[in-house]
Amino acid sequence: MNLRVVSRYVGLLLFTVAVLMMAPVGLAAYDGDPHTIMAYSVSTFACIALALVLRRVGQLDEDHEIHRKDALGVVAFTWLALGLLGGLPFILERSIPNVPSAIFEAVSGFTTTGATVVSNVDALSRATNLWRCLMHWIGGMGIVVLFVAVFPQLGVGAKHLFKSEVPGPTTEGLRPKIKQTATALWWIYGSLTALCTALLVVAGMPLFDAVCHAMSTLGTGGFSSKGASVGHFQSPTIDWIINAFMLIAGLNFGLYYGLLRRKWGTFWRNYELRFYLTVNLIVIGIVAVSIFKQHGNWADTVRHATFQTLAVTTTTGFMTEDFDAYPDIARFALFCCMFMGACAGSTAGGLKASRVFVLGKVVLRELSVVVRPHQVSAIRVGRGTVSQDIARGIATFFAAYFFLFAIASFVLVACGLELMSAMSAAIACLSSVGPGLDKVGPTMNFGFIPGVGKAVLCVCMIAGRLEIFALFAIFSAGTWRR
Amino acid sequence: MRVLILGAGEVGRHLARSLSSDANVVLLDADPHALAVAEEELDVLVMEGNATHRDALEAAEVREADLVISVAGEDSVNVAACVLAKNLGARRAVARVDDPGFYTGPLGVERDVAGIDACVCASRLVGVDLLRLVNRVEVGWTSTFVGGAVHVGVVELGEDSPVAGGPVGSLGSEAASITRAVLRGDSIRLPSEVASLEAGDRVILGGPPVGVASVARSMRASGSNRVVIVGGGDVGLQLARALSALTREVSIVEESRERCEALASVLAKTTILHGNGTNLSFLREEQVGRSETAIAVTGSDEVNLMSSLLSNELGVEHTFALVHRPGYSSVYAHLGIDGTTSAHEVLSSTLQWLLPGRTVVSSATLPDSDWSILELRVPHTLPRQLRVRDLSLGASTRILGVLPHSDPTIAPEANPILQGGEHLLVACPIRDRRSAERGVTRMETKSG
Repeated sequence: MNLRVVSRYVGLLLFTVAVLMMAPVGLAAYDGDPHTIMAYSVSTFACIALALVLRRVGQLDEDHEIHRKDALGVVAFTWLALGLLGGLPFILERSIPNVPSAIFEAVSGFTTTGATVVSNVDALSRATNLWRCLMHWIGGMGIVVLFVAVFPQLGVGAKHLFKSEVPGPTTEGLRPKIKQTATALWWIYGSLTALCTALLVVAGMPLFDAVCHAMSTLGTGGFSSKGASVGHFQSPTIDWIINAFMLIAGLNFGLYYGLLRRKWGTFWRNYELRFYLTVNLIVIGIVAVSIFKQHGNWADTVRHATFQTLAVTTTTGFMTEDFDAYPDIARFALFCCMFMGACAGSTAGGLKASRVFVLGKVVLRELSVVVRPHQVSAIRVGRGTVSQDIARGIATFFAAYFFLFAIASFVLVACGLELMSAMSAAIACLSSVGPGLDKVGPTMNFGFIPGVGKAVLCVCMIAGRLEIFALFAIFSAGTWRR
Repeated sequence: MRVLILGAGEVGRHLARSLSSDANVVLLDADPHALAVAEEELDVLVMEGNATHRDALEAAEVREADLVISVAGEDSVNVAACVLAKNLGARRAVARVDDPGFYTGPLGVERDVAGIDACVCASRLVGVDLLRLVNRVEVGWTSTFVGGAVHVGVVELGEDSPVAGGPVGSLGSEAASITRAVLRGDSIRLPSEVASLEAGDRVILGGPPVGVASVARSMRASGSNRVVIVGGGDVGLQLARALSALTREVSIVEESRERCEALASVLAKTTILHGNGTNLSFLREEQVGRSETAIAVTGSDEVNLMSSLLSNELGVEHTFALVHRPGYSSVYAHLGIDGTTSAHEVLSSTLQWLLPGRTVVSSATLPDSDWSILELRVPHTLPRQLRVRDLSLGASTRILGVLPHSDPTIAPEANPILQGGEHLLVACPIRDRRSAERGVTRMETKSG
């Protein structure tokens, strides 16, 4: 890893963050709140100052290509820096005066987790609510992807950057050049956000809340400008609009590009999409049957079951009612869904539906090999097959995911959390869902967790967002060898 | 612009790299390992599939390709893939066909064969490029245009030049047709504007490679005449033919006895030597050191490098070598070898020339002057009928020749009617480049 290159590009990325941070500055100025203006302006300047210092350190004699190691470093350090800088305005504004809590809130924002430490969201300033949702929106499609889309002439380095932030079986290859792919993704993402905002406004949500919720929905984040989340509005129309857009955000964005080019077939034939929808239907069914008694009519039952299920499977983490109060069978189904998350190439977190599907196929194949040791069979998914190498990679990813889950749960239990709260907090952060169960349930918050626990959860959130290996690569000796 | 490259080998990847800044490149290959290498080092879209399978071509969206380049390992695959690609709606297709027997001409580029827009022969193109490098010894400066079919050279006339003092008209018909302009002081004059050639004039020649070389020779008092070629493959054979037409004493060193006999039966004026180009005692015995130029063109980089170094050691003044692995050229230059060429480089520069959509297709700057030579492509559809001299290309720009699309030789300056798709060879001051380019793009005329 060439630290100069890393420093240079982290600096450039922080400039992008500074530009985006001007949005809450503008809103605070409009609202005429001097304390908030000060908090966000100082944070913006801090961001610019740090960016300038990094650029200065990273001044290069000549154009230097970004190699894979450098790209991993740029992405990992950028995401670590995002947490610190994103939390700064909360501390300055004194909306979240505790430093670990403020950083937790920012990391939760950028990684689209939506786990909050704020007990009274309704008391936050409008600028702070905008910033929380804007973090989701930027982090959803990815700050590095945005950077690749707008920054010219990165060549093959752009590809390494893109892949470090968007790893896994995904969307590269929509267009011949990675810059075009990144631009196309941001266009699709931006247009869907605008559409969602417009529909929410038509459905009666105030403009500011509509913008916040649209950004939070498309980023599969979960921060809401209301304490009672989407439940605040008590409107079936709004619930269904957000249901639709959570689902849209949880599908592979590459498919929308295919739809724009009128390739209907590739959309419906996509095995991951079919598998993901099937899982959702089953879970919605389980939840609906188990909560029917609470509502008494099917319309409300189905609406709430669908909302809570999609909020978990797309890793958004909104709520219209407290799913922690559901019967245990529904709670457990939702807890399991937290591991899977949504589709690869979406803004959601988790293991990803395609990986779960492939691993299921691998298990079935291993079973048949036990019975007939001489049989040779391929791992079939949809119309294609998955190679042994890819299957092995997926199994490794699973193992890493569960190790991380176990370690994080252990630390939280050691911090004094009760077992179910600890485990659900760990997976809710690792898969970027947000709310967990019990003490960290949808109506609760993460504020009470001690600093060590928050730090571990922050690592989980970033690791989950970058699909583990990109973050931990910077701790490997090979990365640092010149 | 979208370019589909079939074959992700060394050549395919080199092409993808050189084209990826101008075009959206898709790389198709059946070998996942080759694709993995390409994926790692190039910002292009890679797809797995067989180039002769229609579903693979369709998946790669061949109908949207502005150019399909097939550079797989086999000639027949390349031809078949290009024919299929054209059938499926690709706008242009170029196939790499290395069998020299496929071609009717000597150039290594043939247009419109079996519906394929161009077939290119790497060994031929390499031979032509080596000829240009060898000519540099004599001409001083050369550059290629029209994808290698036209060489432009500048000959500085010395006091002892046989043509100094005589009028341009006395040069003989071949020399007169190749003499494009005279650079005297800081100004360029067309041959018709020059009464007689003087010592110190720099004559700009432009035409087929062999013609330029032989005219250049006739304009200079020449020195030694011996050339030794190591390697008797197609490149060696072709070079020997071209160089012996320039009345040089050419010998070929070839290791295979059978190949030697085959060469002896087709090359009457060339000395064929059976031996190893890296065997020092053999080279001494054959007095290779007395040659002026040595060119190593075997199929092995190691042999080419070693025999060039040995020739240098024995006293050969100029050594040139064919390089197979891209990226080795700089090592050769470091070791004191005068010039190298490689199939990757010549193929990519030829293909750059074939790319649609650019006005300036090739350009070169004349040494020690502020003039450059441009090859400009006339748009395919012209607004009205125009003669070449009606074009407004900037005050000092001179048109050196018109290059008709079908026949890549320079037409004389008869002020013909401009045809769509023709190429113009012009000399213009470096600062006027933009106005020359604009003149052709917008078809501006002198009358307004």
